[in-house]
Formats: sequence, structure tokens, C-alpha cells
Amino acid sequence: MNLFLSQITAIVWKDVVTELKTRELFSAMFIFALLVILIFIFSVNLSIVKASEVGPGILWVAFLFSGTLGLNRSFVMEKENGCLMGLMLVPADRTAIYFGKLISNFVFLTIMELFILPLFMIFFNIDLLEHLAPLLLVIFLGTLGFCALGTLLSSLASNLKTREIMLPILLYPILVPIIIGVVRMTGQILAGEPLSEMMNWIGLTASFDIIYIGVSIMTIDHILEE
Amino acid sequence: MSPDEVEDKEEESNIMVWLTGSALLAAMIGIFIYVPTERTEGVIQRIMYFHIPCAWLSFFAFFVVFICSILFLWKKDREWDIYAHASAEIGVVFCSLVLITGPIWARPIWGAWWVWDARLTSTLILWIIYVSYLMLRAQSDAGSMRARYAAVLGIVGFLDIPLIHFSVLWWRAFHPQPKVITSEGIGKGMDPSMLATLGLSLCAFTLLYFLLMGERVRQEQLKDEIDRLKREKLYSS
Amino acid sequence: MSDNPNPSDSAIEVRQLRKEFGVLKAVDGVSFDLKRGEFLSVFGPNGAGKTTLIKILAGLTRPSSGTARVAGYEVAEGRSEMRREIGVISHSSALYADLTPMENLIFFGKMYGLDHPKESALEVLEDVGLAARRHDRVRTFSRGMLQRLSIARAILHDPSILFLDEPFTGLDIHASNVLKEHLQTLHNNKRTILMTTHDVSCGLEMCDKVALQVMGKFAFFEDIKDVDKENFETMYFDAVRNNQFTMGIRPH
Repeated sequence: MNLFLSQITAIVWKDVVTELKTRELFSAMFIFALLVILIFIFSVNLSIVKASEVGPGILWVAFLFSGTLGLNRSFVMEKENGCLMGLMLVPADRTAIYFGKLISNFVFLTIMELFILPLFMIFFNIDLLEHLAPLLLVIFLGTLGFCALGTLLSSLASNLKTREIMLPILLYPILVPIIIGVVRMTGQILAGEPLSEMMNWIGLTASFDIIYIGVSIMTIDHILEE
Repeated sequence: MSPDEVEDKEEESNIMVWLTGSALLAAMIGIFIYVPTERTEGVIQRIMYFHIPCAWLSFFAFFVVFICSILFLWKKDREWDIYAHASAEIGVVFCSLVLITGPIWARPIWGAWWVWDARLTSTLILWIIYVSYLMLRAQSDAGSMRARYAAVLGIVGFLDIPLIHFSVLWWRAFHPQPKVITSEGIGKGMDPSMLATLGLSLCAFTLLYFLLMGERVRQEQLKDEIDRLKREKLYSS
Repeated sequence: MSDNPNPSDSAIEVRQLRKEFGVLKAVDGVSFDLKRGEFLSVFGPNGAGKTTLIKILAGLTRPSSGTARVAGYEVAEGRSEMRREIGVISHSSALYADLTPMENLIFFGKMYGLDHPKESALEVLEDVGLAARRHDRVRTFSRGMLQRLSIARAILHDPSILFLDEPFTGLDIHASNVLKEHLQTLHNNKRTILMTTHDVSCGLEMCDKVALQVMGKFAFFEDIKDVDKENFETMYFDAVRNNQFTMGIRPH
């Protein structure tokens, strides 16, 4: 058990060190998310629609798109030089590899989101600070679900010829429930509703997270096999 | 396969063809001649006898994909991979038919080709999931990797169905509800002859599923057989 | 090299090993024994299933049937004790290009659960003569240096058995001589080695046992002293020539 945890930590540490050295991933994800938001601002007329109505959707589309960049990168890095084979040779449970990658994906994406939030606040002129705690909970649930399924499917897509194309095609339709859920919840939070009004959505996103972490634990063995 | 086996299979599939053919014919007679025209919707309502069986069939086919995927990951037997593949293809075909017959039915009734009704929306998402499943299969080379990946996606995709259903249902709750015959409405207040026709049509389509499955599975098995023979004969040592 | 449940002197015991999927038979009923400290060279045309054989023995993929015991452990069980006993070197280095050799080896050391990953990393880097460049990014390394580094990664946890999958691919003459020397040292240290290669002279020079794998089967398995080098070479080239016809029917 101890080795299991230290292996997970080692994988996260390795990803963080790589990122600190190259600074490729974070900057790309951040700028891309920013671009997505800008493009949406240009495509909707903010003088007609209320910012608090379109804002949540735009925010999550930005997170989703730039998160996909991160996922693509994460397993391509493992495939380069056949590193994944090296990882599979070590006396580690396959789930340790999954959780290591899941946590590092989650950490990168969350940091990027925390940087985007203030910009979103300024661009859309919405005060997030008064709803910060419930908003962070929703971001946590949404990002976790995205990373849980995304890590599984990107480990799968990384072995395909057309991995950059296939990852979003495989991932997005299955993510539909969680996308609807987080966008709705974010909208309701910004409208000032308490969390107790949206327990059904919280239940839905939480069960999504649990189901897909569970499925990943059960199936990752079959994906991480040469 | 020995010649005897081939003969047996052919005989089996012949019976299946006749059975399915006559069931479909009976269903056609039921739909176009026997069943009375619905009072408010008129003749267009007869499309229901295709729409609902197609929906049931695609759902059933995806369920078979799910079960075969689990069995494949468990047994690692190529047979289950073939079954999952064949069932996914058939499911996508019938899911497409649902998406085509839906708007045809909707246009005169709701006055719009497409309404973001919960069931139609869920069907659309389902269709995309299983099209991406078939794309995944097309993208990877034949072999155990393709089978394993497809199986994982077959499981992941099917488990998403209840989540999609509820999210789309609650999402719709915020929009004005279109006037729809809800699924709860079907069966209630329906003429017994309509129910009988629907039941007959469901049976005929289910038979059609098994017929198509049998053919598609046999095709894949023959492909495998050809590959095996090619490899054997070409290697001369 | 830790305690072993298997007191016999067999490092690798393979019985009727098969890896098949539908009509594809990558490994088709292979059986052989390899004693501790022996060096086996496996020759064979492309697609003969050599790499799959190594992947099964290294626990990267499961066999369809048959048994294989590596260092006394059944491979199908995927035990971590077995993984500690084996090291794999293939033509890809399995090292992170943006990290330094030290960072890479410390990472793998932690994954193996070594007590002193840093010290072990330094030690193996000295063994392969790359200690001076331990703080440069792996991306800047030449093919030959990468292959040495990959040896360092493979012996980091001091395994008793090494699998080498086409280790000479892409190396220039100097680099392959250096690699040969390293392999010789590893062999002299009583490590069991199983190597697949296309290079007949190289492969025959170092090994104790020779095998030829064709269409997933071992067509030939002999002690090196019973092998007539020229005969073997002819046989090998025939196998490669015949194999060309079957290539490309279906990719493995």
C-alpha cells in the first residue's frame, strides 16, 4: 500500500518536474482557454444576452477544450520513447499508473482554471467572489469527472494513429451529462441559488465521477497491455 | 468449418429468413391495412410502428454490445469481439432510423423537424457515442488491441446511458415543454388493435435483428477464415 | 537477487506458450528452458512473434494458453516479485526526453520501490559511463548514449534476468561495439539474458543457446556448440525470404 502511494506520488512528481522544465503544457492550455472565451465573446452579442446566462457555458467550453489539449499531451509524453512500456515493467499496479496520471491531469487543469476565473470575472463583469465556495465545489466535481474519463480514454487513444482527432470524438459525447450538469449548476450559482436547490445535479455529477473512476480501475488493466 | 457445419448453418439461416420475412410481412399488413388511423394525428401516426421498434432495437443492440464487451474482457475470446462489433453496427443503423423517422413524425405534429425533446436528444447522443465506437474500430488494426479498446468503450458508453437520460431530462425541465406523446402515454388509451400491431412490429424487428446479427457474424468469421487460409497457403516451407 | 521460491536452476521455463487472437497466432506453442546465467539469442523474420514472446515473458501481455515461469514466477499472474527480477531493453529507450538521466533513474527507482534511488541511479550511471552527463536533458543524447542509458534503466533494480528486444537497431558500428561490451559484462555477472536480433554474427558470438522463431513457433533451438554457423545462416535467410510472402496480409 505504501509503495502504491509512493508510486502515484512519483508519477505526479515526474509530470510536475517535466512541466516546470518545459512550461509547454500550462501556457498552451491557458492561452487556448483564453482564446476560446474571446471567440465566444465575439460570437455572442453581450448587449442583448445577459452575461450571467451565456457565461457559464462559455467558461466550461473553454475548460473542456483546453483540458483536452492537456490530456492529449499527457499520454503522448508517455508514448514518446516508449516510456509507457517502461512504466508497465515496474512492479506497480496498473491502477497506480492510472491514478498518477489522473492526479497530474487534475492538478494541471485545476491550476489553469484558477487562472482563468479572474479573467472571466473581468470580461463578463460577474462577481464570482460572493459565490466562490459553491463554485469551487462545482469546478472540483466537473474537473474530476472530466479527468477520470479523460485519463482512461487518452490512455486508449494514445495508441491510435489519429490520437488527437479521436480523443475528443470519443470523450465529448460521453461527457454530455457532466457538461450539462456543471453548466446548469454554474448558472444557478451565479443566479444566487443555494446548493440545496441543485442536489439532483450534484448527485448526477458525483455519480458520474464515481462510476468512471470505478470503470477505469476495472478496465485500465486491459488498456495498459502491449 | 466442416462442410456439414456449413450446411447446417445455411439451413438455420434459411429458416430464419423465412420466419423474419413472414413476420415483417404480417407487421406491414398490420400497420397499413389492419390498424385504424389515429384520430388526431392522422395517417402520419403510423410511423410510430417503425419508430418505436427501431428505438427498442437500437437500445437492445447497444445492450448486447455492453454484455459482449464484458464477456470479451473476461474471456478474451475473439467470438465476443465479433458479436460486439456486429451488434454495434446494427444498433447504429437502427439508431439512425430512429433519428430519421423522428423528425418525419414530428414535422406535421409539432410543426418543427427537430425539437429538443429528452428522448430524441438522448438518442442523438447515443448515436454519436456508437458512431465513435465504430470509428475507433476502424482506426485501429485488427488484433487484440482493437478488441480490448472497443470493449472498454462499449462498457463506458453503455454505462453513460442512464446519466445521459437524467441530465437531458432535467435540462429540458428548464425549457417550455413541447406537446409530445410521452412514452408514458403510449399504451394508455390506445386501441387494442394498435397495441397488437405495435407488438407484432416489435417482434418482427427483433427477429430482423437476430437475422442481421447472424449474417454479420458469419461474414466476420469467414473473413477470419480467409485470412487464416491465406497465411497458411502463402507460407511455403 | 532476492529469495526465490524455485530452487531449480531454471531462470525461464516455457511450456506450450501461445498468444493468439482469432486467426492471428503471434506465439504458437513455444517450449524451452533457459538455465540461470545462460544467454539465448532468438532469431526470426519480422512478424515471427519474437517481440510478443518477450512481452509475455516480461509480463506486459498475457498469454492465451500455456505456461511460462520467469525467475520461478508464473508470468500470467503478473506478480510484482517477478517484475523486480527482470529488466527490458528494447530499441526505444523508455526514458523521458525532457528529464535528465538522474531524474529519469530516480523516478524509476522510486517506482521500483528502491531504498536509495539516488545512490542506485548514480551507481548504474557510472557503470554505463554516463555519470558526467547526468544533469543534461535526455533529449540531447545520441542514439548510442540513449541505448547505454536504457541499459542503466534496465539494471537499476539489479534484475537477474534481462530481455533485449532488437537492441542493436539504429546503432552505428561504434555504439554497437560498446553495447556488445556491456552485454558481455552483464552476461559475465551471471545474469540470464534473452535477446532477439537480426544480426547473425552479433547474436551467435555472445550466446549459449540459439533459437529460430518462425510463424510463432520455435523452428530451431540448440546449444551454440552444436550449431554450424553457416548452416544456420542459410536456414535463417530462407526463413526470412519465405516470410516475405505472408507479410502484410494482416498486421500484427
